[in-house]
Amino acid sequence: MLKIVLVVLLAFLVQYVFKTLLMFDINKRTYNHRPGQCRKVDGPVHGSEDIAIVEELNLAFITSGLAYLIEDPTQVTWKGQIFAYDLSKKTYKAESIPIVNLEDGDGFHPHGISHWIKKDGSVRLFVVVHSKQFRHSIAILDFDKTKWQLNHVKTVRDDKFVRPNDVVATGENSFLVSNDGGAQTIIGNAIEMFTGFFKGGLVYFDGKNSHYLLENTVANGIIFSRDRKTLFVSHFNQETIGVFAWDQKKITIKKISEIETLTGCYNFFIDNEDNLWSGCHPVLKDALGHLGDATNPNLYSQSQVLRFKFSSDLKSTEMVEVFSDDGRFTAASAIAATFDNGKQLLIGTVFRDLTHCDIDVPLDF
Amino acid sequence: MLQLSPFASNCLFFTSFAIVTTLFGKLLLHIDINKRTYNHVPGECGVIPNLPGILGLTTSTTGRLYMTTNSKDINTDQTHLFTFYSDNRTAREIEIRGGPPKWRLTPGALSINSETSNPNVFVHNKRTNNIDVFETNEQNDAWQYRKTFKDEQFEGLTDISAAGLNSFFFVKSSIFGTNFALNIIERVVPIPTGYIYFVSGNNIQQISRVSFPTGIVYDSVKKSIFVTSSTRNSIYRMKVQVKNGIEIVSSKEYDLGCSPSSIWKDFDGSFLITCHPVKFRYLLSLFNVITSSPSLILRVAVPTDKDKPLTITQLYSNDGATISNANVTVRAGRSLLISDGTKILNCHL
Repeated sequence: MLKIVLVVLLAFLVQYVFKTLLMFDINKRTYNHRPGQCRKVDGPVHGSEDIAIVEELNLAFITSGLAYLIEDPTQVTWKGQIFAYDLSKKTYKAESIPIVNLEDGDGFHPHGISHWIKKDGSVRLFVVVHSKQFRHSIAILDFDKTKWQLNHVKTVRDDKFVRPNDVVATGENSFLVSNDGGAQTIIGNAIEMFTGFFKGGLVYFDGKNSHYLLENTVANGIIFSRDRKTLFVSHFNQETIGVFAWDQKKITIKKISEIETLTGCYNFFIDNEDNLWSGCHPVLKDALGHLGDATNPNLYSQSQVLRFKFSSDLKSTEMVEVFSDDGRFTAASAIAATFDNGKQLLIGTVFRDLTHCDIDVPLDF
Repeated sequence: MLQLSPFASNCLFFTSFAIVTTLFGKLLLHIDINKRTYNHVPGECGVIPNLPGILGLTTSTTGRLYMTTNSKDINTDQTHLFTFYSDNRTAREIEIRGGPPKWRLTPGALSINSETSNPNVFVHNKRTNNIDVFETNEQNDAWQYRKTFKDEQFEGLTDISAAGLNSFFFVKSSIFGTNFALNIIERVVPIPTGYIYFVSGNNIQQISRVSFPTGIVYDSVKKSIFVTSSTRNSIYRMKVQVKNGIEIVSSKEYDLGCSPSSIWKDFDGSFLITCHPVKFRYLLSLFNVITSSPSLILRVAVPTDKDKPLTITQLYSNDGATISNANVTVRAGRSLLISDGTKILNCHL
């Protein structure tokens, strides 16, 4: 009897070790290719984790200076910033926009970003913010085009913003927030990863109150389709993309499908043709090594840009790899956004610089 | 019945369990169960019409592209030789002159030697299992038969690479070339069952054993042979020199990360390699469980310095819908030609 228990335990241990090895992608690698000429953009050096492209202004807002799972606030020597990049000409230079009336300027380390066009035509930004002590909030900023500054409107804090990663606006004061886990420390995050009991999820904030839409999962990047009827959620650790039907009136989601990408996709972008773009991490073990010690230039991880063209029923997708790098040029891609009718591409990284590429290869074939 | 003590039987059980589990786990990782392909093209691609797939492919120094093709009808034995013009994407059949009485050619692997003004083409004749050598005449697309190498070791030849006017290297993938089940085992288990041979005049010499070699290229400038191993996901660089016969001076193995199926040397010294990026899908397609499996084309530069890693660029990747199990690739001008044996895909670089 005892032997049977031991054998069962041993079998469980074996399959657990094997699943963990698969999760870490120990037998994967990337092969470099670029869609055209690629250049670095001056400006962001310590991260370009998320990009919001405002087509009405031909402008891209880029969050930079992410501080993540910080255990020693004195290690955070970099500054959190939001950069603006003019998409109408190839300047390859992004400017940091001043943020006015911030409560805690030193505690501003932006993560995910989303934008909303207000009724008067001006742009409102929703930004996931972490402080040096790894406290979380959503900052609402209005873009003043004339003075070229961001005016802080409000900071939203909520118990359900457990560990926010990305945000997507649904109105002038309402938004969806993704939590990519529940742990606040590196050890806790490791335990969450290894046990598979994820505490992340999806939270809706209606301007006053918040409630859960998804719980006990990993939610990284989130975005709506152009018609705002479909919500895409990146489950990073599970290497899948969840596709949900979104009902704005009832504030509900209904699962349509789950796409297996076999690569860890981060943040999302929807292009003019309703294709989904994402910056991905093909090899998780290298990504963890790089993200765990982001200031070490000898540690880098692979970058991958994928474009997903969904079938009409949203149950399957055709994946095109637009960009792939072993990390020496672009390390740990987090977001990919196209503009100029799909002829140009911005690739943002978690803790490094921003890459601007031309797209000279066909993507439909 | 040998009576083991409980302690000894427990040790035996757990040791065997550990060994079997480790081997099985390594096998699962080896056949790439957590990998997939993502589509990627280097430019506009299209299938060349009215042309069956490529069995062999080689180019001369002038850039002239020769290819052997097979008919889509397996029952007929209609293999042909063509010259391909990449500028207008047309092919013209080659006239073969000379040859012994009643001689017929069913071309397989081929390679070219450009030491003379009319390059010599070495062709594996699958009908006779001999190596026939032709002198090319590029003015009128004709090949003049020159000689034949005969040896029983040429049976099961996988790839050939010319080294001189009267010498060449060739590889054989397996011992069990005709036994399907055992051949599958050889494709999966990385034991060195393949052969590398060198032929010079009437002498044939086995120079090494490699696990399931699929392609060979002799680089006379670097005095090295480059051999791809499908099972080990690797490419070997073996420096060779002639003493009493030929011998390998040094050997270095580089990991490709995928299962190579062919190798072709470009003019700048880099290699174009076709790969199976997801091995289990390739195996399933061999068993006809699925109808297609992914294709991957890499450009690989092997560094002169032994300590430096390979430089690998991906040129093409497909999940099998457009081209399945690509097994030959070549560049002609600004065209990348890819074949899976039934069609030829032409991509603009």
